[in-house]
Amino acid sequence: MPTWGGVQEGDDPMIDTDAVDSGDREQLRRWLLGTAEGDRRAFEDLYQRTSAKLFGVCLRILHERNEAEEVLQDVYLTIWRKASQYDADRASPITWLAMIARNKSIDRLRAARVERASVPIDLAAELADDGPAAPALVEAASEGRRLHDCLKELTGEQGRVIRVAFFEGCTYEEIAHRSATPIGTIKSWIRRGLLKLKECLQR
Amino acid sequence: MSTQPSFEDGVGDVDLTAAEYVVGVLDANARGLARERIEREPAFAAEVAQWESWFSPWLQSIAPVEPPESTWPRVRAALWQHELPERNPQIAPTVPPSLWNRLGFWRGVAAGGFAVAVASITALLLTVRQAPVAPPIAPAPVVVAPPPAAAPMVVSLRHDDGTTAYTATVDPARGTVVLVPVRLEGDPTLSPELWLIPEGGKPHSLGMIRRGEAMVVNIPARLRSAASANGLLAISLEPAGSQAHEAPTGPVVAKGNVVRL
Repeated sequence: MPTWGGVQEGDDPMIDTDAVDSGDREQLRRWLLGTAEGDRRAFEDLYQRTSAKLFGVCLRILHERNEAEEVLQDVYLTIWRKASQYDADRASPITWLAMIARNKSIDRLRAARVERASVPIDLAAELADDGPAAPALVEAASEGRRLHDCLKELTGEQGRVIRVAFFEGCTYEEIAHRSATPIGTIKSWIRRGLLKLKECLQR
Repeated sequence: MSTQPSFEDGVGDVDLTAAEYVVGVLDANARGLARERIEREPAFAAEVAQWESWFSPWLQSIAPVEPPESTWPRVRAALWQHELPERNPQIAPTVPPSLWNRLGFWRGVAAGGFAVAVASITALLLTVRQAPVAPPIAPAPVVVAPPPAAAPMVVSLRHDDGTTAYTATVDPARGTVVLVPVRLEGDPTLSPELWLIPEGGKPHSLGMIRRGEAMVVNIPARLRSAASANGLLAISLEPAGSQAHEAPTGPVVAKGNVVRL
């Protein structure tokens, strides 16, 4: 049992404010800025510091190691060329980087989605515990608490199916098929849930 | 009333596309449309960024996993090939190190994905060609646009499963193929060999190539016309350390048609 950050049944990873490492965030931001200016050393430092995190993100979506490796390579080529587009006012460095990894992974999934379509999803079961997040890379403490609190306003089904969708990266159709649930029901749970989340998170 | 098909979801016409994009439930087509909106609509892009920020705690809960050690060298090779051990001089012509080192060029390579990358490499080749080794005696004539026949062509060398092994830019006018590695499948103890197969003809070896390295390969003069259209580039796997072969002796693992840019 992880001493912190463990995911409980119906729970979300709570992020302790004490774990927030603003120095790390600042370092990542500087490396990203350096990368944007073509500083290879900064880019390599950024790679060394974030590749395990991003590989974890790719693997979580793709499951298959070879595919995740391929996507990770593409992710860093994208980071190198898009670093100048990073907007510190809009996203923390690690969120921006991890979202690139996530989006590339989902794109890959969409390009070859056949083989996973048959793996059943049990919407009654909670997703597996991911273990602790890397403390030094955790910096969205207040966001973490807000998401956690707002998810409590959703029904159990809404929260669970959004979570499954997020961590599996699968489409409405796939979730419906894999969980043997009518697609209308899945869409309804997810969209109602998202709307409720939005209302709560905007408060 | 909306003319759009509405789902029985109690949400009606509320646009949740940004959220759906971030959660990852959109299919390939809808994702593509969402991407276009991110590019075009600042408000939509801001909404996506907001959802990404809201969901970032979930991303951060994902446990890190060390990637294989080979990933960084691959990234580096794709960006800065010159830092790797020396290229095979028989295969790679001497490109001035100053050009390989030029940051602007390599950022250019990275600037727009492989499509732009290959175009940039072509730009490099033009630069190389135009870079005077000695002061020119007379100003070179200004070429407004290259003749169509000289236009470089892009080839994705793909495995049978559709994944890309190499991206190549074929320049028949200069007689070069610029290879950028993506990921080569197959027995890692074997060495890849590059083949040019003219339409309806038999394979001609362009030489042994190295895994994971960008390189420039010369096309022999007699084959340049074959490279200009409808040819096929292919990669076979051959015994390590062997010389260029008459015909492939090992499996052909990746191939692609030469397509005009």
